[in-house]
Amino acid sequence: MVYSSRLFICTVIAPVKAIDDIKPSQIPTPKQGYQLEALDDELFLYDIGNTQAIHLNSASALVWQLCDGHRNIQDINTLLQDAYPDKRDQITQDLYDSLSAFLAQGMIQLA
Amino acid sequence: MNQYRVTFGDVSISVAWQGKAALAILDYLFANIPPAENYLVGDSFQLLYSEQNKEYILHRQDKLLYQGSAAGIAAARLLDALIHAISQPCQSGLLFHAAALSWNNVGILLPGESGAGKTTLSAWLSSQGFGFLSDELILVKDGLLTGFQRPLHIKQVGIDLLEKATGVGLHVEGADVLKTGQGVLARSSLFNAVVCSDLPPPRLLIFPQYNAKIEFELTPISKANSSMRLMNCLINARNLNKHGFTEINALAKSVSAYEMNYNCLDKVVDGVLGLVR
Repeated sequence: MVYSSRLFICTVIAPVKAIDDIKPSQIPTPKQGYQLEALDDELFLYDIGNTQAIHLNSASALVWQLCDGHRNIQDINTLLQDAYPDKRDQITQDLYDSLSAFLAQGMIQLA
Repeated sequence: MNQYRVTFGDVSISVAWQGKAALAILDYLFANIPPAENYLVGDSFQLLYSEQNKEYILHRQDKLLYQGSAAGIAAARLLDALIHAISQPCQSGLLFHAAALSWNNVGILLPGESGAGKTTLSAWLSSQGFGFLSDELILVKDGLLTGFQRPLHIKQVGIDLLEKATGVGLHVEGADVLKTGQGVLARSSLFNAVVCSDLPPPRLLIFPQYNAKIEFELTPISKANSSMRLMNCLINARNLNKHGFTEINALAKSVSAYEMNYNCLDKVVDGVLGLVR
């Protein structure tokens, strides 16, 4: 999997939560109940209850998969930085952009 | 009261009618739709024409949908409500808000919301030799496309583009053209469209978007993106196991998908032919 592109979610309809509100110590927990299909290195998520269809590109799919309800945001950031050392400058911003969009979509909760 | 039956997919709709003018509307709208067997029964409609008052009266079940003298508005209201009535119980395959065409038995599916430009592209591509399936409603079942072959409902932007590109007059009401208030209904034969009687397999997905400010561009999109867009155009999801999630992904995996932005029709044919060839 190549960390090559920035976040792309096609169905953002709610205001994006301010990135400053997201703290490194917080633990993102994914909302349950999505149907999930991996297509190439991207994800298609579908919430039957809310009839909400979401496309995650490779970068945001990777972030989503790291949101397991155990790792905090700093842990996720460190994992990504170690995996893609040549993208360090970009990764933190992309991570926070992804989390912000996930929050806006109700895809995660921060504990 | 006479009965007219419209069947698509596994759903049959009954329209009770009275008056020759009412029958003329039904024939205009549905003459190209073949009969089918083994169907579910959806809502029923009633279309009357009062010779005394010179007006149409259209009901869906007990609800009045239209009362007035404009044949085009009565036809458009009936068409919209009937498509809704078909989509509610349909459970035999994926029913998409989509246009579709064929080229040498290659099925081209164009899913999109209202205003995306499906009808305009259908009319234009049909006039250029593509087989016509539908500009509005497509059933994907057993790996084949079936189209709801109604007259084309062309909005104002499409009227301007098509008149300029084809020379077909759409502003004058007549036997082939009815004004609907939102645009016109026009028989596909006006564009020399060949109604596609074979059921082609889908081989190409194009998500159209008319945008006056964007030049023509045809951009490949990923399978996950395609799945999301297909799901957003699936209108019978609630009747399908897991809302058709598995079938949607299978379709997205098997068919190349593109986004088409256009503001004129000049490059559309070459662009599509470049993909189907």
